[in-house]
Amino acid sequence: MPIVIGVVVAIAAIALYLWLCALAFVYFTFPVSLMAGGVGLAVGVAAGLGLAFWLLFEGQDERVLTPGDVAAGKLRMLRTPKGVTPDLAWPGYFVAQAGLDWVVVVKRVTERTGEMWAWAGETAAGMSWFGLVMWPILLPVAVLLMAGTAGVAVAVLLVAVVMAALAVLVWALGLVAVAVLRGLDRALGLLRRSAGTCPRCYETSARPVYRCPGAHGPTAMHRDIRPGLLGVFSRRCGCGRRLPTMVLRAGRSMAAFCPLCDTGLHEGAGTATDLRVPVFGAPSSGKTHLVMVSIVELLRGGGPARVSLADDRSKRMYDTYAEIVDRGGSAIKTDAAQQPVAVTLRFRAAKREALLHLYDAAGEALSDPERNAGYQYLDGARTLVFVLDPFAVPEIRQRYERSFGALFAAANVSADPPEPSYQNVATRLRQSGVRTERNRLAFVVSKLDLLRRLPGLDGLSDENDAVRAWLVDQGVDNLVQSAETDFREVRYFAVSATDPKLGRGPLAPLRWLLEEEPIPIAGEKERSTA
Amino acid sequence: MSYEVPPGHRGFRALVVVGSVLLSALLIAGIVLDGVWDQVYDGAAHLIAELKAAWRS
Repeated sequence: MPIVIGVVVAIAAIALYLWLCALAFVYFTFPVSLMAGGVGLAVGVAAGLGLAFWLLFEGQDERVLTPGDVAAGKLRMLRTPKGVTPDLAWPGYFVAQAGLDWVVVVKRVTERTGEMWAWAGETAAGMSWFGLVMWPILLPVAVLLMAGTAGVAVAVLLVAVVMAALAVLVWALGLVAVAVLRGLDRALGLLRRSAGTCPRCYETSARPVYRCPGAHGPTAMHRDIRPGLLGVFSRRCGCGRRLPTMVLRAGRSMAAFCPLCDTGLHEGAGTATDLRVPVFGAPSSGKTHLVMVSIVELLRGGGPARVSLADDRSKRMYDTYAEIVDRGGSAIKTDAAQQPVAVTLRFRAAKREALLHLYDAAGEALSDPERNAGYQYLDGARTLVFVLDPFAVPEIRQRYERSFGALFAAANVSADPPEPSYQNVATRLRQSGVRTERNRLAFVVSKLDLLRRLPGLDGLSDENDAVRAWLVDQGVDNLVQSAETDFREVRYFAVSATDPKLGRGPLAPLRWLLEEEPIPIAGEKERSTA
Repeated sequence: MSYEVPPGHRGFRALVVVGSVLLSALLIAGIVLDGVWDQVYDGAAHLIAELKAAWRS
C-alpha cells in the first residue's frame, strides 16, 4: 500500500512539475526568450563593434607588418629582382595591415565569446540536476548568450564589409594613381633624357637608388622609389621619415646612388638630363687635348646656361687642364692603366639641369678588346667623338714625313693608323648589342694648325663637306664609309686644340653633338658675341 | 612588442571605425524604416498570443 501511495504521489508531482513547466514556458520562457534574443543580438553587435573599435583605435600590435618584415621579404606581393632586398618602408594600410587587423579582431572576439561560453558551461555544470529542473528559467539565458554570439558575428561581418569596401575603393584609386604617376615619371624621364651615370662602374640607370636622409646604414637605401605597394604619393621609411615617391621628386631631396655598386651619383642624378660623350681614337691622336680645351672653353665661355663642375675630381681635372691651356702646354698622356673617369659638367638654365660626362680613355686601352669590354659607358652613349690624327694617315705620312720631319715631331704623331682604332670601338659596340645606327658621331680631324703648314693644305676648310672630301682624297674613304654606315649621322670637323680661334674652334664638335639634347649650350651666335 | 604605426595606418583605421558606425546606423535605419522591426515585433506578439490561446483551450 505505501508503495502504491508513493507511486501515485510521484506521478502527481511529475505531472505538477510538467504543468508548471508548460505554464512557465507559455507565460515566461517563450516571451522572455524572444526578448532575450533581441536584446542579445543588439548587445552582441554593440559589444563586437566596441571590441573591434577598441582594437583599431588603441592600435593592435599583435600582428603588424613592419618595414623590417617588408625588408625580410614577408610582403610576398612586393616583387623585387633576385638578390635585391626590398626597401625598408611601411606598406600601404590596405596592402596587408587591414587584413591583419581584421584577423586580430576575429581572434579577439572569438576568444572573448569562447570565454563567455566557457563560463556559462561551467555555471550550468555547477548547478547539476537543479539546473536541468530549472530549464524554463535558464532557457532565456541560453537564448541571450546565443543571440549575443550571433550579434558579435554580425559586428565582425560589418567591420569586414567596411574594410572590404574601403580596400576595393583604395586599391582602385591607388592603381590608377600609381599608373598615372609612374607613366608621368617615365615620360618626363624620356623627354628630359634623364638618368644617373655611375662614375665608378659606368652603369646608367633611369631609376637610381635613393638614400633616406636618416642615413641609417644599408637599410636607408631605397632601391625602388616608384609609387607602389609601399606608398603612392609618399612612403614612410622604416626610420619614420616621410619620403617622396617618383624619381622626379626623390631626386630633388635625396642623395642618389648607383643601383649596381652603391657609389654616390652626382646631385640631381636621375632627374637631370644625362649625356655621356666618349672620345675615342688612336693613342696620341689629340683626344685629351680636345677634351681639355673643350672643357675650359665651356666653363669660360658665355652662353644661355650656367656651367659648373659637378664633382671634386672634375674640379681637380679642370684646374690641371686650365693651367696647361693657359701656358700653352701639351696634354699629359692619358694613363692606359687607369680606368677612365669622366669629367662631369653641370648645365643650369632656368629650371633645366643637365649633366655632361666626357670620357677620355687612353687609345691603347680602347684598342684592346679585353680592356674596352669593361668600358660600359660606350654602350650608354648616344653621341660619340672620334678623333683622327691627320699625320697618322698613311697617305700623308708617306708623302710628307721625310721632308717635314720637324713638323711631324711637333705633331707627336700617333704611331697607330686611324682605322683600327675606329674599328676596335665600333666592333666593341656591335658586340655589346648597341644600335649605333641610332647614334651620332662627331668625326674630328685634330691638329689643324699643324696640318695647314703642309704644302697645299694652308687653305684647308674646316667645314663638314670639305673635311669629308679631304679625308676621302687621302684614302680614308673606307673609314668614312664605315662611320657613315655605322652611325645615324656623322659630322666632320677639323680643329686645333692649341689654337682655339682657328676655324669653328674646338668646341664645335661638342656643340653639334648637344644640338639634339635638351642641354642649353652656347650656339654659334652666342659664341661669336661672347 | 609595440610598434608605432605610421599616421596613414591610424587614419585608415579611424576611417574603418567611422565606416562601421555609418554602416550600422544605415542598417538600423533601414530595418526601422523598411518596417522590418514592426514585422518582427508583431510576429513575436502574435506567436505569444497564439501560444497563450492554445494553453487556455
